[in-house]
Amino acid sequence: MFVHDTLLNRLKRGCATMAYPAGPAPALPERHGGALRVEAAKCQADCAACVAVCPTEAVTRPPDRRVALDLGRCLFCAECVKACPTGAITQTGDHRLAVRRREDLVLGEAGNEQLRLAGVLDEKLRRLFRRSLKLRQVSAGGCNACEADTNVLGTIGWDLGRFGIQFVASPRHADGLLITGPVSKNMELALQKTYAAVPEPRIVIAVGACAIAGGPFVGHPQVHNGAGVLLPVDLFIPGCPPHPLTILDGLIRLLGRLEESGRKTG
Amino acid sequence: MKELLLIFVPLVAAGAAALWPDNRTRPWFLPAAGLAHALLAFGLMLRPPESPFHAWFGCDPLARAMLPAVSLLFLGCAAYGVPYLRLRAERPNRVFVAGFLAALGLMSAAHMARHLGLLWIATEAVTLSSVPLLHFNNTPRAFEATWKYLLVGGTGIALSLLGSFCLGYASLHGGGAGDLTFAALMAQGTALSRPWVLIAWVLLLVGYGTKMGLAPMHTWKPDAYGEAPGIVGAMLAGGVTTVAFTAVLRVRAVVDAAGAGEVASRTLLVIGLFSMLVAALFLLSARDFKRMLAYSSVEHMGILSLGAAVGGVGLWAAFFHVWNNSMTKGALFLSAGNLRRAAGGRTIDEVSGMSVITPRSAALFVAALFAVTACPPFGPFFSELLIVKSTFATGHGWAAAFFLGCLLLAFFGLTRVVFAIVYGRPRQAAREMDHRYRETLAVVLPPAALLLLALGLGLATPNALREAWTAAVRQLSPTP
Amino acid sequence: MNMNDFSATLLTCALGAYVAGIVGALLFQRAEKLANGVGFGLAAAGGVCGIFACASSLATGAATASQSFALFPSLIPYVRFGLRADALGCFFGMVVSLLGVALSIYSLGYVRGYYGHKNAGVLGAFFNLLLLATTLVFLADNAFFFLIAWELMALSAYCLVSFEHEHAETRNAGVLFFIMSHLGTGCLILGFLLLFQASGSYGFEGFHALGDKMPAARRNVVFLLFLIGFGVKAGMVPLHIWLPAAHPVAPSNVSALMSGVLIKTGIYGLARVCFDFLGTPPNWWGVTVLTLGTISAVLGVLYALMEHDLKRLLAYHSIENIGIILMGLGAALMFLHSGHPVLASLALIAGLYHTLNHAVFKALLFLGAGAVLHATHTRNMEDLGGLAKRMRWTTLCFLVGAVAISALPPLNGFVSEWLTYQSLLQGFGTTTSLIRLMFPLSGAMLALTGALAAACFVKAFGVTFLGQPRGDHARQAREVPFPMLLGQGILVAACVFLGLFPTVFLKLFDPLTRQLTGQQLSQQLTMADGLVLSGGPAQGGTVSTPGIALMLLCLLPVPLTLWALFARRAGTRIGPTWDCGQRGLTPQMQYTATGFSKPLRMIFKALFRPRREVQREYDFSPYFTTTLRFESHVEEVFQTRIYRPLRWLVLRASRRLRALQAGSLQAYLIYIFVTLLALLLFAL
Repeated sequence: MFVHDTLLNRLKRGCATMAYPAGPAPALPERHGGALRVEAAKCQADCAACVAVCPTEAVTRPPDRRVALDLGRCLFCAECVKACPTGAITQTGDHRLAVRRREDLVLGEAGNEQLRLAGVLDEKLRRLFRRSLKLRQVSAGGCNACEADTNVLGTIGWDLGRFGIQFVASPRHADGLLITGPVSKNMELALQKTYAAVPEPRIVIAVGACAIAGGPFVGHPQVHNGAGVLLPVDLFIPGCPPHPLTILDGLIRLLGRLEESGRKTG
Repeated sequence: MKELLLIFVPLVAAGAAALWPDNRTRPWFLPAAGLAHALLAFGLMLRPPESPFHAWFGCDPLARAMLPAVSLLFLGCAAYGVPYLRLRAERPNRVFVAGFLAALGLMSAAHMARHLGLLWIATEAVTLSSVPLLHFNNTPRAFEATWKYLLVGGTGIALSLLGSFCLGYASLHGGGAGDLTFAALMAQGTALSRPWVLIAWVLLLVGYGTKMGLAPMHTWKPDAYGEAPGIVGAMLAGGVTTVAFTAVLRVRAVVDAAGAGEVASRTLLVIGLFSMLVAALFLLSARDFKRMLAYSSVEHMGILSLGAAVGGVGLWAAFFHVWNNSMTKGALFLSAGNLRRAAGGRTIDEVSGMSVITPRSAALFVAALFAVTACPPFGPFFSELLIVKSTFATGHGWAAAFFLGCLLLAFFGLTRVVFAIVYGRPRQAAREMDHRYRETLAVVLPPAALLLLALGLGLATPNALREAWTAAVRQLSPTP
Repeated sequence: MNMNDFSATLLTCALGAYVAGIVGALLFQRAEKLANGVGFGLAAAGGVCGIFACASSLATGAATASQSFALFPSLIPYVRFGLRADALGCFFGMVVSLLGVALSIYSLGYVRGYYGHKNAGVLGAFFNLLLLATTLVFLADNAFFFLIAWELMALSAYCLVSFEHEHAETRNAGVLFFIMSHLGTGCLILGFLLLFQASGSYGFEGFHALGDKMPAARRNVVFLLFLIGFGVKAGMVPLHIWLPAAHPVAPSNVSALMSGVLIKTGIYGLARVCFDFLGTPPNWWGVTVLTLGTISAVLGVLYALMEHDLKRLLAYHSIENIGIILMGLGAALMFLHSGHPVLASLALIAGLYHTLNHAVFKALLFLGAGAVLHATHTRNMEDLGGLAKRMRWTTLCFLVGAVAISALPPLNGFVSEWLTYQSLLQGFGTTTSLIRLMFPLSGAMLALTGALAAACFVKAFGVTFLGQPRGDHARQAREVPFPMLLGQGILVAACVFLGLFPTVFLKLFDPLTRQLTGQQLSQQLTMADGLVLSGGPAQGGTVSTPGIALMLLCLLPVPLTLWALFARRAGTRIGPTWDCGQRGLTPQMQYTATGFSKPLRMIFKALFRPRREVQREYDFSPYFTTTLRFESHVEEVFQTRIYRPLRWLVLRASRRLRALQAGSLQAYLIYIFVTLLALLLFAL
């Protein structure tokens, strides 16, 4: 009877997976502001209001430019948005945050008002991983929020598996690593051994402010400030934590699956 | 003539030993008399006289079948006795040597007795002469054992006297002339009054059975065999029991002739099996290794009784077993004596690891254990197998199964004690005793020789012996 | 005599060699090396003569109509030392001789470990005595001689088992073995006596087909007596308790001989009695043997799984394989009853072929275990590991043995189990009664056994030889001396040949089956010029072990070629074994034998009733334990439910009886008078 009831239940429920990316993305909650946008032109000369309120020194006013907002260090607390008198920093509500290069995360230059989004992997890797990307998750001493939001991608609503992306039990089975957490000194050896155990060709994805630049723990003597210190990273997904939609967007953009889905919907 | 010598040579030697002044050289009487006796006994067996010496006593086929075994056993014990008494030089051995020799003479007389009364007298005399032997160790326990031996044995003797009277009355009642020789009684046959014969049979069986050590009349045995020196135990277990068995067989022949053979067989069967059961059960919880030997003796008496009950081939096998039993018990008791002296203890709680302290005696003890539990190639295997075979052949299948079961239980009990004593690590007491009672060749050779005889009897039973046993069987059951 | 003169002479030479071995080993006791060489060298020579004698007798067919000949004149009137080398006896004689050769060569190296503290001469003498007695058991032609040889075999086996009697465990095991052996012998004596009663003589020739002339009730009693008597020796459940105790504590060459040959004497006895002596059997005999065989097989392997003592594990596997052999014999009995002699021959061949195979691969495994013991001084698998790198050849030999016992093609275990399956499955069609359900059920149980055996040997091999050493002894292990490797190598070769060329060996069974069931099956079971083994003409399947071997060999280059072609180009990177990011792999991270078998322990909980005790000590927090004590027990069902209560009952009776020997003289006298009264009443 149990089997019968389960089958009936499943049949009644139907398919619960979201249409995205073939359909529209689910709406971000109110509190989530999305990507930030910096218009340096609006900055006042002696104003350092945003610098004072930033907990991780993500926004600075370096001598060579008006203002620099490093989204890699940003916790997306939006204090700078509130503090700015001229509204130079604004929230765009855009969920797309993933980039390929670290320097692409620094906003403030002319023309660098917003993120240059991630491009696709090179041709050889794209052919290898396009339909099957197995990732080993390494939780390198963080608070677990990024892991939770990554984990939810495996549920039936998001269903990461439809893209052929899967988290595996052993780095020997993996094509790459997905790192969260600021890489504490305790986890350094484990992270390096895990990376060494992944067969080539391999990619590394850093998810969350901690993995990119140390997050709230930046500067602490017991952490390396992010995975980039130890390993070459191929994809950065900022956020604290990044919304599952952001992570998903980053992953399928990396694999070039977004254009395809986009092409499908026309 | 030789028959008289068989009795008087040991008795004269006993007298001479009693008078001999020197404690140290007195033991030599034992092997001297033993050798003479053995030569006489074997001479008689190999060249039997045409007619018995006298109506009342003579070396008839039954005696010729059994006496040489006793003689051989005595020789072995005598050879052991010399070094033994030297080791125990602190005790005066006048009474011991005299009593031992007297016992031999009287046992010969008892074997050769062909008269009911003479048989009783000789058996009583054997009992009395062996009393001081039991007491040799002079401990309170030895005294208690001797007392029990006297009393229980005495009860048995009294019962057999009563039985002898009943048998005499049966003969009188049947028109006999008062001739109480076994030949005459058998000749009277069915004329004997049946109820008196049966009463006599029961009394005589219980009486002589007490001397044999059949259960439940065996109760004196554990104490006696446990407290007596090994050499005495050997003689009792191998010699005195044989005397009693001979007596039972002679009486049984009369009962058979009187037509009550069925009853006799049945009672012997029941008593035999009961003895085996009791022995087996007691052996299972035995702790003292010399008392254990007493129960083993009870068991073998049960086997003999079973063989006698079955008759025919079984009786022949019983004679075979008497020889095997005597040799094996001799080896067992003598090597147990060696172990007891060197161990300084007597139970499995006090003794262990004897294979380290007295390796040769321990090896002999284990080999003798195998012999007594009927492992081939030793003699008892063949005799017991033959008894089982004949029990089966006469239709007592269940008795045979019971027999084998009791053998198995006895085996458990015996091996448990023997292996506990022989293996493991020696105790402190034994290490201290070591230098006092070292294992010399003189105390090892006699039991080894007896064991070899037991082995040889099984593998190569001499023709002369076989014929002697056949003749004895024929004497006891003249009608086919 | 009909037996080939050549065979007879060789046989006498073999027996003479064993006797010379006994004498020589004892003579040179003081000179250990000489005693070792003389004793075991002569044993090997005897074995070689025995193999040739028996094999030539079987091959030339002289064995079917052989008369018995007297070994030497006997001085005992009713015992005749006669030998009869008929097909069944020759077959088993061949088994014991083959094992004798391999084990003697092995012993030349193994006994070196005893120099200095134990008497190698005594070991050699008793070894020769055991070989002699066992050969005589197989070849004896009358019941008396059989019993003498049987007891002699038990006695020498006891002495060998108790060789290292300094340990209490060894002493107890030896005594248990001896006692169980006596129990069996008692039943045998009764059985032979019953047969003698019906036949009038003791000769085995006179016993032939005696069962048909006996009344049914008596026949059944005889069958039961022999089943118990030979079952004890074979290690059939529930009479098996001595096996797991005695085999581990004996020296390893002795364990191999016991497991390889001694327990097969029970099979020989059963085969002789059921097929030669007792005529056409009623159905329940076959059903009983089949059931007991199935139970033995399953229980044997289940208890083996729980063991972490290497030799005890192998001992339980012996029980399992005896179960498989008994399944073959039981099926053969059932087929004889239902009138299918061809199938009966097939089942008989399956059972006896498995006897030969088991002797070979079990001896090989015990020799391997002995080599491990020799090198590491421990039998406990939890202390071993990593021996593959240190003892390469032994590892290889043990691996072959493990593959063989797990019945994997193309080795010999597979062939005999396949034949057993064939006979069981074809049995379904022989009758229409419900009994026929037993066949597929037994087949299913056999399959379960095979799977569990494979799992068990994965454990045994993996924990002992693979991974990292779990202790110092294992770390310092060295390869064993050459004679030990040679002995193992002989058996490896035997395993391979018996597996690859079963059709050749089937010809040896022809005289055997012709004598026992009147059928000759080797032609029917062979196809394609001997390359393919068939399960019989009617509905049997076919299998070709040479074909499988060839296929494996041919397939092997395929991945190698692929690797050479593709992997090279991609480049190779050598890195450490993945250790989950830890600092490094330690032996404590490996599976233990107990841990490996835990899933099965939980599945069969009802049988094992496992008990677990964990004691933990910690300083300041339970997360930081300082001492951990773990105890796990599996209940030995037969000991606790059957034997211990029985023993307790008997001992209680004995103790109650002791009260009678109270020491009180009055009591003694009363006993006498009570007896007197009882007897008077009884007599009058």
